[in-house]
Amino acid sequence: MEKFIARAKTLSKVSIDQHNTAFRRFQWPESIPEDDWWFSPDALTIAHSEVESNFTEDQKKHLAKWECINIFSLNNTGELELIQEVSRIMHEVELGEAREYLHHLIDEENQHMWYFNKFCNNYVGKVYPNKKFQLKKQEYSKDVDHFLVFARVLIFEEIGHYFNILNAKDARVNPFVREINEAHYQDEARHITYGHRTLEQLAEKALANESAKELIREELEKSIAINIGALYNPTAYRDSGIKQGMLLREKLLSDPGRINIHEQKMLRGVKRLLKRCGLNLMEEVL
Amino acid sequence: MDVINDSFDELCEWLRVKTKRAEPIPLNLNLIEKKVVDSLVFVEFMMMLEESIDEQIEVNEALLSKVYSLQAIKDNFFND
Repeated sequence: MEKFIARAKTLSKVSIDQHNTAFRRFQWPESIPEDDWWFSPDALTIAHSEVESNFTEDQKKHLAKWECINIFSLNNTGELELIQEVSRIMHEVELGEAREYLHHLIDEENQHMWYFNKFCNNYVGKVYPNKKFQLKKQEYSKDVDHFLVFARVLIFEEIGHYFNILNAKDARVNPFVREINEAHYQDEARHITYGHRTLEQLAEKALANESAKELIREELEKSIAINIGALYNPTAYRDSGIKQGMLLREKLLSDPGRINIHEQKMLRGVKRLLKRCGLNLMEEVL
Repeated sequence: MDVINDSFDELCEWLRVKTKRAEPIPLNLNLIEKKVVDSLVFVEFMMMLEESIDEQIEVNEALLSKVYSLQAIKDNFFND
């Protein structure tokens, strides 16, 4: 615990030094040119899939615009959910002084929510509505509940990290989009570090017996499927000119190249961490 | 009107296949209480509904009263 608290204090210091940077960091352009890459072609949901070669560069650019809006919309709605969930438990989760960092985490997630929302509204006039939804919210013990909150946050953040890195590094992408991804990447790197330490800290009590372990495993597999599914938005496909968006979605979700990206690039870190905590999550089958 | 009926029928058929049912799903069956759909299928089903009606739908608690059965969906989204 002492090591964790020291690490959380270092992370807090960085957050304090950079406080409120997002609100004054960006020079918002009037518009994003239509023929720019709004998203890295390598980050598209068709990348590395069997259907990728059917798309012309022009079609990919259209798709890149709307997939940028989809990911930014998911970030917007996801950050809101994260803030709600972390706020709900932040005064009772057993993390000692390391809890103080949660105030910075919420503060930064609020800034992210602000710029992702503003980007979508400024440049396309809409944010895609939330598509992640759980029908039945179960009652859990506190230990299980707290572990699940941070594990779900980590799943969401690690998937987002994949897109941040690809877009921030890709020189083909519009400079303003890259800048936003870079800013998000920097904050999320700290949040992910904190998330890993937090789960290691909470694991012992949450995973104390087999039934709790099984429950958490089931819930997290469901969360992963919901988060991965949300990347493949048929409305974004339709907005980019693709007819039968649902059909493309279903094809891509079962495409071996895409499953490999999910497992090896998006989920590897979080699954490794959970395994270290004693939780083996199922892999998508090719 | 025929076009509306066709897309509603297609939606019902999509759900039947997705939930691996041999028979058509009764229009008044509560899809959520009777666990015809879980969270994952529900979200996909709403995406399918969006495609059928060409309109965006916010998936939240408030939506449940409009989509709890196929009949409710017909009344709320496929009426002229």
